[in-house]
Amino acid sequence: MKHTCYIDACSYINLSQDDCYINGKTLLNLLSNEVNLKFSNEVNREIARHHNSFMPDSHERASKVYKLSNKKIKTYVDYEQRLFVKVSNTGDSDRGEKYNLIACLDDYLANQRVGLIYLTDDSKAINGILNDSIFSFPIIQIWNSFDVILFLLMRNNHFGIDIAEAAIRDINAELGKSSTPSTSHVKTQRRITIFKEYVNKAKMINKVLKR
Amino acid sequence: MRNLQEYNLKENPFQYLTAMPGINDSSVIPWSGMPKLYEKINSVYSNLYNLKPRQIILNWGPYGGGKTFAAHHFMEKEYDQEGIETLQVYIRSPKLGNNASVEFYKSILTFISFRKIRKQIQNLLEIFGEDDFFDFLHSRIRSEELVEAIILIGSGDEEVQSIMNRYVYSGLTKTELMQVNLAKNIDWGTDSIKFLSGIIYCFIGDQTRYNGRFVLWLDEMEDMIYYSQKEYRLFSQVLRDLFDSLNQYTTIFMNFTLAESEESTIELLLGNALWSRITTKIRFNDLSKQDAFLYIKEALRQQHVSDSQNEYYPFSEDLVDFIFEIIPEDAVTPREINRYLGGILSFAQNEEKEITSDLIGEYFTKLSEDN
Repeated sequence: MKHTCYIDACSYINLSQDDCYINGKTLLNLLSNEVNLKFSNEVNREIARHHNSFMPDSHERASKVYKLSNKKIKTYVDYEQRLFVKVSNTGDSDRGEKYNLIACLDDYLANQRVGLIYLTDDSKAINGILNDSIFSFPIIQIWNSFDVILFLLMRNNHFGIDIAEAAIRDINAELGKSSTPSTSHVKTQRRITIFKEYVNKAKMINKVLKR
Repeated sequence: MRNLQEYNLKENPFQYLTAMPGINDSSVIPWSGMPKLYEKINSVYSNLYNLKPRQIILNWGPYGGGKTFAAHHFMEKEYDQEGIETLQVYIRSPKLGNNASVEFYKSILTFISFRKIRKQIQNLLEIFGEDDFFDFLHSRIRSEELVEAIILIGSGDEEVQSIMNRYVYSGLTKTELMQVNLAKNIDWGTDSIKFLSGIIYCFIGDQTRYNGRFVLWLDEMEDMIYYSQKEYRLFSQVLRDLFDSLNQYTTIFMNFTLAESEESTIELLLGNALWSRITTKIRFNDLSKQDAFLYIKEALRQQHVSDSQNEYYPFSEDLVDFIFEIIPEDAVTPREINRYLGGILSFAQNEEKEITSDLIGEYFTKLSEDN
């Protein structure tokens, strides 16, 4: 049975930067083959604003948009009032992350979906606005794009350690673009630590799989 | 504001938090403390002059540990090497990966300057003669086209000089290429490194008719973390090609800031191809208390107007001890020492007071209020 992965806009974009992985596929393409990818309508709107040529088009994306189906809590506003107290407005920076969490929970409550993954590279949101809510629900695994790479390494026989290391470097570089190297040695060291952490994890997986 | 002379100082030895390049007097940026580190780097230069190696040196350590300072100090230092000319170049790693190779190539040439390159080529043409100069360069870079281009840079014709300036930095139109009888522009890949190597060999010479050395300081290599895989592969290839082309009388320092203590992290980042070419690794450690005191003492002594019984004047050993307790244990680097002591000295000047424990207290109170 496939996992169901609620992906937010930043991860969707980060995983669609290049089609250099296995037969011209992006990391997002490869992930789509292994999990059921879904997202809220708000995230779909955010993705549309940052569309690039490596991403699926709007028709393909439309099939991934989750529609709320819980009979008791019927709207995003209802959910927001319970989870966050304050209701968000259009254009709020964390709206996509909140709506994806709501969609994820709704899928569990309405459809008894298990194997749920919440995928985001926005650690600020996880440790900030979502901190009180997301960690209250142990049925959700939280991933970032690096975890996607580790997952692909485990799942896809053609996705070997060299590809994984290259992908980790790519994602790390993409995430680092919001930093200014010349003025932030702290951020540079953080990127180095993250790079090392995930390359070592990939090597551990590779040791066990011994392909 | 009190004059530094009233503190028996020529300059505030702790005023700089970043190295100040371009001052042709090593007494202005003197080395203080860290004698083992100094010896290691000095020994690299000694090898460069007395042997004929290609040295690829990895300097690594924490932020503020003195790597950039070392670059500027050793570049400004005078070496008593009669008959040996040394070209030293300092550049920072390209910040963004998407044009890293081109930026690397242009940064080195810009640092040297087209004028200096032209004069050097003219100098060698005079010493070697054109045919021998051609043979000398061609044996190194194996490209007739690029050697011809380098020879043209030494042309006495102003118009040709102007065209070749554009050739080196941006490329020429078809008409301009025909004008100087070149078949094509420099291809930004293997060609550009061959060309760069050729220029550098003009400063190394053949050791008989011209005796030169080349030193390259590559700072902030940790910024390669911001390169994508494609960009990293390309840049790594460029570095490897350059390292492999310059196989003698060359020293390349790679400065790498790493907050943690595991060298293997750098290997991961640089990749095995670059890592395996490193000949020496020099670690810039956080300073121990003893190292820090020596650094402070020597920095002050070098700036004393007249000899002082108190080596730490205008501080005292007790005051330095007091300040040392405030600096976080995991941040005892020359930069942090400069930040604290430099700040206290400037504060004392503004307050027109001697440095005492009370003044230091006032300084830190003001600092926390301002923050």
